[in-house]
Amino acid sequence: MHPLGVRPSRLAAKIATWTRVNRFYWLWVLLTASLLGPFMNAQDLDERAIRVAYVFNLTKYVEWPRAGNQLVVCFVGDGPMGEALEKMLAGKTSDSRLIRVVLSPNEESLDQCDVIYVAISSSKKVKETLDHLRNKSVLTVGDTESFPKSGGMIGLVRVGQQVQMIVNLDAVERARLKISSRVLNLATIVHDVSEARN
Amino acid sequence: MRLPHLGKYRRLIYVAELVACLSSASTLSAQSQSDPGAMSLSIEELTHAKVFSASKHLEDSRQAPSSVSTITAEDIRRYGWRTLGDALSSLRGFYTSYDRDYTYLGVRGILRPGDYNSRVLLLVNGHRMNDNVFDDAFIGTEGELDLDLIDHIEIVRGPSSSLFGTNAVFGVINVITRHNISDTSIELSGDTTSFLGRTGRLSSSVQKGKLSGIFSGSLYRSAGQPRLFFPEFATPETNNGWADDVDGDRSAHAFGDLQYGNFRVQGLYSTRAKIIPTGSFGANFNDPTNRSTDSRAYVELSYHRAVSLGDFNIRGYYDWYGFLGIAAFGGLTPPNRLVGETFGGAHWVGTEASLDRQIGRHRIIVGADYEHSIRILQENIWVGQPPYFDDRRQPSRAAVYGEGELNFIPKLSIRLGSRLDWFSLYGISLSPRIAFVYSPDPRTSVKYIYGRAFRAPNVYENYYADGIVVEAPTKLLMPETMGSNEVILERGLSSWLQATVDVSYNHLQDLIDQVPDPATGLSHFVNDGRDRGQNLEVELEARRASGLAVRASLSMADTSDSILLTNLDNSPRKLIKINGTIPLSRFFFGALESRYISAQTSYQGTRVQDAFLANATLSTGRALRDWEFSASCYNAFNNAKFDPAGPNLEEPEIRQDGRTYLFKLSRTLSFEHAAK
Repeated sequence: MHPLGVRPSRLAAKIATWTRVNRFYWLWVLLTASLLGPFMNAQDLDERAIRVAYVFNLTKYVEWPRAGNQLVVCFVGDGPMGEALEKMLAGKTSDSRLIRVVLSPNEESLDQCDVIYVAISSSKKVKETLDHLRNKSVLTVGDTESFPKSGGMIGLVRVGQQVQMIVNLDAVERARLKISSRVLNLATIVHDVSEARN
Repeated sequence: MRLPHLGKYRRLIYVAELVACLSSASTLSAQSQSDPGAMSLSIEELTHAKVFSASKHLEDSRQAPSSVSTITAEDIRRYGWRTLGDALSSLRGFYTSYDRDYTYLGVRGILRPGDYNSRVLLLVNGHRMNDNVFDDAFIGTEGELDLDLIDHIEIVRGPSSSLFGTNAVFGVINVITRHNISDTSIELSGDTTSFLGRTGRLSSSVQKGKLSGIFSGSLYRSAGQPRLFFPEFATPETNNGWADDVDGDRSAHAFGDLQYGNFRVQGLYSTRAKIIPTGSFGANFNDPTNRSTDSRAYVELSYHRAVSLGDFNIRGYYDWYGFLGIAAFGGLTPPNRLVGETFGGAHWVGTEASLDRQIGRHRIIVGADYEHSIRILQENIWVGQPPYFDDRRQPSRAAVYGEGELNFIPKLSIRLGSRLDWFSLYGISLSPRIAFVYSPDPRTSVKYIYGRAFRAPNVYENYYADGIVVEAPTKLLMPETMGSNEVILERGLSSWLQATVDVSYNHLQDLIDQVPDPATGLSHFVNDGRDRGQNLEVELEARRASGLAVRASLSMADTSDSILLTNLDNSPRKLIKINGTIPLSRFFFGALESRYISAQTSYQGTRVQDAFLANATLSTGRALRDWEFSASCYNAFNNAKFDPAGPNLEEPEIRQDGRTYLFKLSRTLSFEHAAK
């Protein structure tokens, strides 16, 4: 049987019918051609790549009180995000600061981090980590909606098929970090829920 | 106005198109190994980038691995889909049929004539929508929810009774509504379609501290086709086959969802009335009295909490459904003219609790539910007379279920699950399911699934007995069951291109059919049907961050009646679908959809010709923050399409609309609360 389920002669007759509908036929040809064209320069993105790209962009729009030559991005938790950060960020420069990626830092080296990506599922452990970083100038990034609400600074949250930012301004201000308004304009702003405001 | 004749250039255009296709195809394969390019995107571009992830995590944790498709709000907007049926028929293996009364869903070559989608389970945020009288799942304009309120739809193919119980035979359609995370806003939307169709919607979102919610209401009205021709009625007594101005359709929807911390209250109300132009059920042809009205409402209170044992969910709900069918019979004027009303209504309460727990690498979910129908009423009257049929019932059902995800061996995940249902109408049903998921590498997975699903006989089948056409069953009705074996191969050919091959074999038994009783001359329901189907589905899906997405699929179905040894009615052997969306500029998106459905046999045994449909939609993206606009053209080539009709119609097939249009405009007004 023919793959389209119709005999070739009938298929030809069908195509002839389409082509008779001249206006719509031209629309069809133009749109199908343009549909395939952009494949050539479209971007390759999976969710992790988008998250890493967010982190990279954030390093450019956040001002630390004292910035060294190096920018240390740390990862705590499990899952493949750590690997993605290391693979895509290590060795890159952000505003002429060389990026170093540290996976699962111990407690002492936690202090040297400029950015910490937290991918821990237990909310108790997230809280412990955040408590340890309290009042230090470290940008904390997590991937849940509850992360910024429980004292983290930036949540990269999957909304439908996009990844959106939620920023806890209280936490950012406490850490004496400055976030560019360019980021804030794109983000959803939240405030501390679990504790009294400063 | 005619365009100048371009015939001689046509071949040139073909060649150009072919070259464009081939050149992009070659770039496709070259690019598939390249590095991710996300790093070069600006932060603004990132917020608009679309995520494509190979693994599909379902919101409802009760899902075992199956063949799953997801339709997002963006898909709905860009393709200009108006009903759930429009959206579902874009997927492999699904097709719909419309008889100008209801829309029926066919899955994997099976659409039993006279079935009101009772073999598919429809959920809204996990809440069962199939009603307690007829088991209807509504997917046409009778659908209960505005498509604009949908965040995404998860479609799980195959038997899912092991978690969801009755109706989850061919699959589960879980509609997840939008969740407000941002700000307080009001959204106004209006559209206009061919045949004086118009919709108006007003939605508002609120957000204050831990409280967030969405409230929405809409009204829809359409005059329908002004004139429809039905050759079966082409006699002078029945207006020579012309149904004049009897295709009207109207609906009203309200939806509310309020969340406070771990608590959630949601509810909806929906009503829809459709004038029936086909003279179905032997009613007078071309009489505007003939109509179906379906109304549905529910309120659900749920509580979710992550306790030390795991994720705990509990819900309690109150549901209501009412059907009113009005039809005129006999002569054109009283006293020969009789108007009959059929009523089927129910209200019921229920509760469900589940616990989802991770134990090391393994995961288990256990749950229980109970539902009691406060009253199910079926009543028939001739207007002006007391009811000649009146039946009241109060059935109950209860169930326990459990499923384990066992990951003892790396790369191999085994899911074992079962559900035990008890129905006061007949007894118990056991629905086991086992699935093996083998993932040799992160991009590839091979799944084998065996499952058994059932559909319990409903109150209508058990007790409807008007004494004119239908009598009560002479034997206790038992549930219909389906056994299914399925093998799925999913492979990511690159990070944005995914291929799926799906082979399944379904065997249905004890199907509930209406058969004549020679002793009385009436008909009644018995468990006697036996169908089988084997299917092959192949799908390619490409999704790029730029918003470009293409999905192409071929579904082949070979179905037969195991008793009569004939092919099933309403069963196209082939479905071919190609859908694509493309960003045309910063502000505009184009979407094209084409579907081919092969010839079918109707209930009356006639041949229903194959059909090709093409739809195109132009829409604005989110770039225009407050305003959104879309224009759609459905059946752009104005091709003839016929849908096979069910046993209640004289017509073997119903002609569908030709080329139609839709224009839609929405505006969002935001009230940013003082955040800083």
